[in-house]
Parts: sequence; C-alpha cells; structure tokens
Amino acid sequence: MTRVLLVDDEPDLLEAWSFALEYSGYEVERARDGREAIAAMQRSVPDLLITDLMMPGMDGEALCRAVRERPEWAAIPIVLHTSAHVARPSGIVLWNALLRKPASMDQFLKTVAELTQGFGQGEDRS
Amino acid sequence: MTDSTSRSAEASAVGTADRAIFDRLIEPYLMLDPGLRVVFANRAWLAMFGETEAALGQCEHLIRALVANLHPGQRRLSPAFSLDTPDRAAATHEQPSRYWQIHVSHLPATADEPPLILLRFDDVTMHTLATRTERREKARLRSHARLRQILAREAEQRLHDHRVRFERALAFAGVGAWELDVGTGAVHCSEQCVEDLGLPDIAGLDRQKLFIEQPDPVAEHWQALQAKRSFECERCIDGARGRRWVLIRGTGQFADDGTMQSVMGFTLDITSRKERELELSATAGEERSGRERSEALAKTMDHFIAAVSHELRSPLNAIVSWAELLQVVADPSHVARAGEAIRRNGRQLSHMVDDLLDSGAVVTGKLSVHLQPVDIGALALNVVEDIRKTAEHKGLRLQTPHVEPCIVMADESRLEQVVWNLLTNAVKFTDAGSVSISVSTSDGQAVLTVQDTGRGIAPDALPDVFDRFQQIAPQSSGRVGGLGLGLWLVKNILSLHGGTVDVASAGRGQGATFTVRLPLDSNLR
Repeated sequence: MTRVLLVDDEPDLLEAWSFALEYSGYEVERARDGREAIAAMQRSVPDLLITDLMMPGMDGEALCRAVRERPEWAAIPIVLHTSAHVARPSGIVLWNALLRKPASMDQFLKTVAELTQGFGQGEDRS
Repeated sequence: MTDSTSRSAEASAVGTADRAIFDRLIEPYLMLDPGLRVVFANRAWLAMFGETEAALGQCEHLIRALVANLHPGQRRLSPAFSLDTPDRAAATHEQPSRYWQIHVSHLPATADEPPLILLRFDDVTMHTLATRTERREKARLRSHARLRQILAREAEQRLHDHRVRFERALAFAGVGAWELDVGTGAVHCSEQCVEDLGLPDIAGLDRQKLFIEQPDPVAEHWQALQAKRSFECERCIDGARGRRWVLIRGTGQFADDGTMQSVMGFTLDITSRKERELELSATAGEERSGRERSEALAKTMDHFIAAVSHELRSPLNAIVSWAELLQVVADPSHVARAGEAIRRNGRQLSHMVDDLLDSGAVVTGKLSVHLQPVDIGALALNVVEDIRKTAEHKGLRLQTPHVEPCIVMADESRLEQVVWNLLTNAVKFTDAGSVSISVSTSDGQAVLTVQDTGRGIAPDALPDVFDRFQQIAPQSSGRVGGLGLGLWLVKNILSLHGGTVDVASAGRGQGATFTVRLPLDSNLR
C-alpha cells in the first residue's frame, strides 16, 4: 500500500485531504508542521510527501530542504500544496509538483497517482 | 669809636654810655628825633646799610607812615619790605633782596633828654621768603587741585557721554549689559538687561536676583569661564511681558595674577526668533510624527490585509476542499461529515466577515445593540459546542467546569460574538492543555471567565491586548494568527452593554484568563 505523509496546520484541510486520500486507497500519515513531519518520517519513510507552505514552527520550504538534504529521503517525491504564489528556487528541485490550494479533487488525486507510480522521477508536473 | 661825621654831630642827644650799649647789639638800631633826623645809628646798622642818608632815602616814606600819629610810649611794627644793602646793590638781579621789618618805639622825653624815635631793623628775609614760597606753593597746589578737578569733571562728563551713547547703542540694538563681581556678587546692569531678564527692579540687584531662573548661567558655565572662554545660553523667562526667550552671553574679566574678577555679558531678547524656531521644529516634528504615523498605519494595513486574506482563506479552503470531496464520496455518512465541516467553516467565515463589518461600525460609532433578556450561561454552552471540534482538532480539552444560568440584558448575537471571540482566541493561542469557560453571578453581576493553558501574555503586552491589530508576536510563528480584531470587538461590544472585560496572565507560557462582567437584568436581581 502506498504511504502518503500529509502536512498541514489547518485541521479541517488535513482531515478533508487525508479523507480523500484514504478514500482513494492510500495509507495516510498526518502532521501539523515541519517538525512533526520530520518525526513521522524518522518513524517510517513515506512514498510521497504533500505539504502546506505557511505553517507555524518549521514551514514547508524548510521541510523540503531538510528532506532533500538527507540522502535516504532525497528521492521522496514532494507535492507543495499552497495558496501562496511561490517561485521555485533555482539550483535545487525542492518539490516535484506545485498545487494551488484548494486544488480540485481530480487534479489532486491525479498528481498523487502520477508521483507515486514513478518513485524518484523528480519531474515537476505543475 | 667811628669816624662817621653824622654820629659825632648827634652826640649830644644820646649819651656815650647808651651808644656803647647799642653798638654792642647785633640788631641794627636807628634813633631819630621827632623831626625824623638821624640822631644815632648803631654799629650794626652802619655795617649793614652804610651811609644813613642813602638807606633812609629808600625807606623814608615807610618810616613817615609808621611814625605818623605815634604817641610817646607807643610801639609799631612795619610790614616786611625789601631794602637793598650797599653790598647787594651791586649784586646780580638774580639774588633776592633782603627783607626787613621795622619795630618803632616812641621813647618819651626825660628830664634831661628830648623824645626819641627808636627803630629796630629785623632781618625777616628768610621768614618772608619762606612764607612767600609757601604761599606760592599753596597757590600752585590749589591751582593743580583745581585743574585736576576740572580734568576729572571733564573726564567724568566724557565717560558719562560715552556710557550714555553706549547704552543708547545697546538699547537701540536691544542688547542689555551686565557685570557681576565674582568676589562680592555685586551686579551692575543696564535697564535693558533688567527688562530682558524680567526683573522687578534695577535697584539692589545681586547675583541671586539677577539670575532668578536656575541654574545660574555663570555657575553653570563656570569651568568655561575659568578657561577664559565665553559662554552663551538661552533662557525662557516668564515675566510681566509673558513668556520671553533671552540669549545670555558672558565672559570673564581677569586680574593680572589670573584670577577672575568679574563676569561681563550681554542679554538679548530672542523671543521672536526662538518662537519661530520652536514653531518650525514643532511643524517638523508634527510632519515627522505624521509621516511616522502614516507609515505605521500603512504597515498595519498591509499586515492587516495579509492577515485578513490568510484568515479568510483558511475556512474557505476547507469549504472548497470538503466540497471537492463531495464529488468523490457517495457514502451518506461521509457526505454528512463533509457537510458538517462545510457548515462549521462557513460559520467561522461568517464570524470573521461579521467582525470585519463590525469593526467598521465600531470605528464610525454605528455599532448598535438590541437589548433583551439573555441567559448568558446557556449562550456560552451553545458557543462551546460550535468550537469544540476546532479545539479537539488541536488536541485541546474544552471544559465547562461551572456554568450557571444568568439572565442579562444583552443583544444575543453580540453576546454570542463576545463568547465566540474569547473562546476562539483561547483555542488559537493554546497549543496544549485546556480551555475552560465558566459563568457565575457575583455582586449583582454576571461573571464569565475563559481560562486557557496557552502561550500567555508578557506583562508589558497586557495593556495592549484589547487594542486593534495587536497580536502576540504575530510574525514569529511564521504565519499570521488572526485578524487582530476579536478582543478589540469584545471590549467595544461589552462597553455598549455597560460591561467590562479584563485579562490576567502570569506571563509568557503561563496561560491567560479573560474575565467578562455584565450587570444582571435589573428585573431579576
């Protein structure tokens, strides 16, 4: 079963999207900020990371960098799900896909499916 | 004794013995008969004056005047007169004459002798010359003194003129002058100075009276004065002419040994200049503070807009997300769950929009309340249920340890807004632990408290908690935590109800307690 780590500080969004993922047959781990996400990844490495950008404590970008810096995690595909307009930093592929929040359910599930079928492809589909 | 013919011719009038005695006297003596013919001249006389006729010719008038009406037995004294002796007659003119004084005695006739006039010639040259010198000296001194007096008077007059002209110039320039004797504290100053310094009187001035405004500028600039530098300071003086600004300058006057003897200086009324200066700096200050205010306002507005968009977006995102979910789920229980989430987030959104609209109404003073009896206890429990889900999502316990029914006169929806804002605020700033709400009555008031175990409030931030747009370290958490309107609205709504809200916190990380007090409905009290 494909394991997805979902990170968002808004409880309602966390619940809605994890419900959608579970409904579509994924195993979902939840975290409310970057630190909780790192802790969860240390327990078990997910097949996909979906994270919000603006979160208290450790934000989405810091989480992406932390993941890319660890060799054992560097290949995990990341979806950045945010309502903010962000520019992709040059020189490093911090995230593989960027979804504008709130994404449509079709797009969301389609992106998740694509990234979980070709692990480590590192392709930005946004 | 002598070969003089005249002496032998008069021998009968003066006895030989008398002649011998007179000849032994050192003063010149001359004896005349009442017809002023020479009867006898003693040896000293002849030695001094030589031939009797020549000498007598010189002073005949004097002798005649002396003996006129001189009766037998009487004596007279002539004034001093000069009579050149033969040895001096040839002498140079530079040598002073000799001076003589004649003592005249009219010797009465005896039985065998006719009356005689006895003349004694006293040499008073020294005395006369001394007296004359003294007199001349005195006259000279007198004339010197008079000259000095005249000179002094002239100098005084000139000084006075100079001073008058100087003071007139100073007055024309509006400058007052003063001088302070360092040793005695005595003060001299011009009228302009007295006026400038707002002093009541020019008489009896001393250091204390001159510089009423403390600190005494001379004392204040003592070191500079000792270092032979002048000082300058501005003083604000409230006097009979109102508030004046005066420039005071002073400089030390030193004795040869280097000790400062006095301080001299000027005063100048600079009120108009100073007022313009103050006005300009006030204007500049106003402009600056105005600019700062508008910059701060712009910053607050930027922050506010960022906060509003984020806060509105959160429930909006949740609503859209759950709505998206409805497309894929068919199970009624899932549909109900989505519907509940949409309803909850919709309510939250609507509360926020209400807050925003109300904040405008508060600012324009148009926030109105429709008062009616409301049970604040029941109302609080309803709000608790609305928020329970949010609190539980954060892992917080939402507790209602003591809620009793309390009827207050209130606008129900406004009161709901108050409780909602206090509870969401507590949940927002509490990361772990619990949020408790209780309602009770005390002293004719309904008391509602919301207590949390959250981040707490630093003592210095407590007074600002109810200000608009104030949040605990809004930027430090990496995201904006709310509109910053909730507590401000709570305070304003409660004041419309005659109620109050207070906050207490033991500090950062120590949680906070908000206490609302509302008067109980008077009909039920």
